[in-house]
Amino acid sequence: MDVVEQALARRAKQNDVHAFAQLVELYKDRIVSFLYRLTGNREDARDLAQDVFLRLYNNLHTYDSSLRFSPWLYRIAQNIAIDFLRRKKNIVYLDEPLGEFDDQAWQLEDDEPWPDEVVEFKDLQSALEQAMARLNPMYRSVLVLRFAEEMSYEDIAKVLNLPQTTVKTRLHRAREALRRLLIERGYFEDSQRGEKDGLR
Amino acid sequence: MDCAKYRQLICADDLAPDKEQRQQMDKHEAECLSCANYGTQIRQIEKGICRLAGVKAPDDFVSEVLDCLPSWQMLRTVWSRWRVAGVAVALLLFFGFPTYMLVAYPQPFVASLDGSARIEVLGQTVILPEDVVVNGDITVYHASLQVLGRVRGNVFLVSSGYSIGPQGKVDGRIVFKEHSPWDKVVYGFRNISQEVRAYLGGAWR
Repeated sequence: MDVVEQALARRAKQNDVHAFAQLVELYKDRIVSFLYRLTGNREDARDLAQDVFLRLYNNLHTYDSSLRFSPWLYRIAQNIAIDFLRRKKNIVYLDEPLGEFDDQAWQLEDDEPWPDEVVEFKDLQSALEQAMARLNPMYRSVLVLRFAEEMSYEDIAKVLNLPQTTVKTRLHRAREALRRLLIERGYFEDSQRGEKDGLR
Repeated sequence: MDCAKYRQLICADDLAPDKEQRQQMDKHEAECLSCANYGTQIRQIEKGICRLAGVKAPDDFVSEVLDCLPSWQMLRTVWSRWRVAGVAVALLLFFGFPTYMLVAYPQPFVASLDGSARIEVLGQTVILPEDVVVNGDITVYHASLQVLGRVRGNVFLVSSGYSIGPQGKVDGRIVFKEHSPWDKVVYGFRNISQEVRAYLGGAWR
């Protein structure tokens, strides 16, 4: 698969529109889904996906065809999604580095009421999706890349332009942040209570 | 196995625990309700993210993206694809048109063995003046010959016509010949080479 993509990217780089179209065809659903998982809005995801592929086309000359193509494309998508979310101003702390022991990691993106005050969660899956929407996008993206896109740490590191160790740390914190959000809303039991009680 | 080790292993999704570690983890889960819950929650989160809804791109997505490509990029693409044909067309236009003009409208030319004879060429007309006598044959290409003087030999008219004035006289025969298309091409290129030689000769002088 990688070989095919690299070959297509190489041809697209030489202004072969048909090869470029094949790349778009190959990745369109994955990129739209990835963006949807990051933005939570179908229309935004589709519009942003178009931007992703246009930026891809304009930047193909910078693509090193000896490297794998998909992390490079996801990186473009990730940057576009983050820019978009920043423009929407629903997050104010994106520029700040995520500290190693960031207590605010699981903070809500805004002060809106939880949807269960409007719409009742059907099940844990819905609760998880709602909680994901409230995670810091940097955490959200690392979770999506790892578990929904099933990327290796190496690829995630390339997408996010971070060392693998940072990716692991961030993933751990993201998962923990999500868990705490679900505990807060009563979907999970607080498993640390036992520790606090001095169990082990 | 203690809680910290268990939680480290349960979160290390890139390193599958070996059989012994798996057994220790199972044992710990059986003994520690807190960690058992923790493990379940982590697994539920990971599975839940795997099941996050995706969205399909619209059917016309590819064509929409292609429509949005900048037009100059498309031109660049077309150029890269068709550049050989483009160069060929350009060369054809550059060289083909003058060649066509030379072939379709050939320059008049007159050849004579009598180098001293004064034969005039005015536009498409070749004039042998009244007081001129040509000792030998003359050949006229692509012109109208006006014989006002005298030709002591034959007249060969290649794709040409002629008229003889009151004082004019041709001692030999008048022979007509039409250039074939190929001859016209050869003649055209010979004319070009003559023009080039003349130009270069003038430039050197």
